[in-house]
Amino acid sequence: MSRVGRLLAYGTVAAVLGAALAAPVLAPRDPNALGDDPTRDRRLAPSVQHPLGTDDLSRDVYGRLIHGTRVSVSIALIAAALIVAIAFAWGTTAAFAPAWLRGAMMIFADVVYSVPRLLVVLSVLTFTGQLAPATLAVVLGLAGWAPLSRILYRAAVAARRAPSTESAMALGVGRVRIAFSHVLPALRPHLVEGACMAVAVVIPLEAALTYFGIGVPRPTATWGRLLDDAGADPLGAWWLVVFPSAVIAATVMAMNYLASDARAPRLTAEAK
Amino acid sequence: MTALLEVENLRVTYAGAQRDVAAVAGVSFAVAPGEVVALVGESGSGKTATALAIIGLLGESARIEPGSAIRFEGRDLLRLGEPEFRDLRGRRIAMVFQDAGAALNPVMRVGEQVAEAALVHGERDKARARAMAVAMLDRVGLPDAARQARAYPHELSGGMKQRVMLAIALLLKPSLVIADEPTSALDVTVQRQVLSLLLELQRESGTAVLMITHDLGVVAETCSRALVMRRGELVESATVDDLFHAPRHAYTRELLAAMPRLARPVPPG
Amino acid sequence: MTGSALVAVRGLRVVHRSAGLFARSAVTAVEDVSFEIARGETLALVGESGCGKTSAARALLRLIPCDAGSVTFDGTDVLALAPEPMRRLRKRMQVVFQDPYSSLNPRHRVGTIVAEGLVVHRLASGAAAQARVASLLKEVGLDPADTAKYPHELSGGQRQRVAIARALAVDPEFIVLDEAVSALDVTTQAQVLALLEHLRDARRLTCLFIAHNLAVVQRIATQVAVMQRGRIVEAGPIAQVFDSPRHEYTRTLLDAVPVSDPRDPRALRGQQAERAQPAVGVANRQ
Repeated sequence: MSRVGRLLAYGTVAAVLGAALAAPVLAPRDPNALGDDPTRDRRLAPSVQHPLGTDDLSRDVYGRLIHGTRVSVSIALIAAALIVAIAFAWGTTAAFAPAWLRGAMMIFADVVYSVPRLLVVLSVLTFTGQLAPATLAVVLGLAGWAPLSRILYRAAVAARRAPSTESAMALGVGRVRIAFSHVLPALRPHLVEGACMAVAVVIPLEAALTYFGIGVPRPTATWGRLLDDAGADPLGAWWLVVFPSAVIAATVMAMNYLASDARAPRLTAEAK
Repeated sequence: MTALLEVENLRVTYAGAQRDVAAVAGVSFAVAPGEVVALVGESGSGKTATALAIIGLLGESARIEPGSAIRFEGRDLLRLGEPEFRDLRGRRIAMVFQDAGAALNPVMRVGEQVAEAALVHGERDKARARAMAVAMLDRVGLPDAARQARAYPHELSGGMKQRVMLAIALLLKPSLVIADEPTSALDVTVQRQVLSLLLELQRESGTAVLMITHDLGVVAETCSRALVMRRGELVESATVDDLFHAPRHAYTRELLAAMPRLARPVPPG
Repeated sequence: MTGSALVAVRGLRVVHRSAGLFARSAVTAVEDVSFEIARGETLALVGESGCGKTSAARALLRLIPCDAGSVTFDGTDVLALAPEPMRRLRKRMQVVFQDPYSSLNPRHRVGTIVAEGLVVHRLASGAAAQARVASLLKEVGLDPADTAKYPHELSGGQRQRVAIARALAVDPEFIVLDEAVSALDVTTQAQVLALLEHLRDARRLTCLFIAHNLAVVQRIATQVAVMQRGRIVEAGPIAQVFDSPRHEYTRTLLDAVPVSDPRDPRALRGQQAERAQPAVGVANRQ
């Protein structure tokens, strides 16, 4: 990708993270607070006072978007951290395990992979009634580690069998050093890529679940909640749809770019 | 005396990350009809880039510099449109690659791949193309060719795969075959069989061969003339006999000195 | 000879098994292979691809498990050693692999690669290790300044020199050269071969030289064993085996080596009527 694309991607990620961190400063008002006159202030188009307009309940869309960013990004980061941690532990343990256990662990990962995430969320929902953002993050994390664990497992097995690792073994390098010096460094690009992809997957997933009313409950602002709040007739108030959608799309595209960028330096180093 | 192939001042540049790299830096040579010529060089010498330029298969990162000319059977290949070039490829110029396993289509039966060469160049009758393919596979020494024609590449050994490559390349009796390290991936015993077959087929059809190799043993075995390349330049062009017994360029002498030679007891007779 | 052998292999058998979920397969790569290498000798294990020569060497080094047989190194039963003594024994037996591109860790600098043996066997550390790495690099014909480079910054020949320096760092007595020069360009191959010969003589190394190129083998080895389909079919001093091969396969192998002179009557092109073709080419002069 071009230098401009790279700048855009990293800029987007920095802006989103910045908004999430500094939400109380950037939008000091309660995101759930109604306007001074809820009837008059409904569905106001963007103006100086409300840069992104107001919603059906007269709430300021800018404030809700900023605070929604905080919640959505937190969910995505917690879920991605869980996905990476579990996938890493599972994949590398399997790679170093004896052959019979290795097979069993990967079959278990495939079973986890085959359970639809929606089903997991719905079944947790029947137990808890409603999902706090943290719970949703954990559920998405627990449901999403399997594909990455397979990728990391493959990479670890390949690194273990690489001629350079065999050379180290022939040199008398012990198992622990083989693992830390020869196998784990080979996983680094996959870990970075996996983390970025996890964020890119969880963000639209949270938005969709919340939009359909089975994600984060009302009135907490998230990106999905904002889309839901656009209501049944969004065409009359385009700002209710356009701004959250643009933020979601930009973030997902930026994370996808970061993911492919994670591999890029390795490729140029080995291209010669 | 008309040359089959004339390469004149060929310059090929690869676009690198930092700067452009000249892979071929002004190379001129000619190949006569029916001749077996070696293009010798080590990695990075530009021998493969030269071959790919002739057959028009240089990748997008490479460009042929203005001033270069490649004439084949009286036509300037560099001015040829892609459809005309495609018609030439396989019919008049064929290529044999080093790694037959990678060059053959893994999901297509080998017989079909040989027949395809006939079908893309005007043969309408599928049954006839298939019969041609089986006959050619038999000619290149595939045992039980009628049955083996139905095999997929992975079911064949490396030597057999290279025989299939030769069958494809020589099916339409092209006037030039470019063989890029055709036997370097093979074991010595198989290498000798494949080289011997290549020479037989070449003589039968009067095809000229441009043999690209790093192996002077292969040159001594099969070629009558040799071109030595180093870092994109042609440093020596001589008959193979002169090359081995009166090398002129220091690099040629270096190559000869480095060549592993098997000292053998003098054969009886 | 038994008394002076540094390495002795007896009745070695290696079976490659692959166990998938639905299918298992087993291929016997090495069957009843026995040989000895006396101190200071170089034994060449030759044969075509798939003949089992590399599997035999890997089993000898205990890089892959073997199914039968014994390996004795300087009186020690190698196959019976516990992991820790085995790890220590590795200091005395080293290996250089064929592919200089994949046998070096692409994420490690040359200095780290060469020093790894010193570190794991606690032979040197800090400045002493650095000095040792520098002298090793010099010994194999590299610039000590190359320590800071990554493998991809080096040519194939330079990488193979790094692999040799890594093996020599622990000061081994025995070294396995597994097709160590096969992937190199001809001129580079000759240089690395000369380096190996020099190092072997200077350090009095015992070598197992695995190769398919008989001309290369003839230059460097003192003894040779010819393998075919997992078994040794002929073995003996190199001159004896190459000059008067007794086994049919050895003869086939020797006959298949390309001639080194176009005037040689065995050359393929000479075997059929030579068609006179005038030379048309002109060397490029600019």
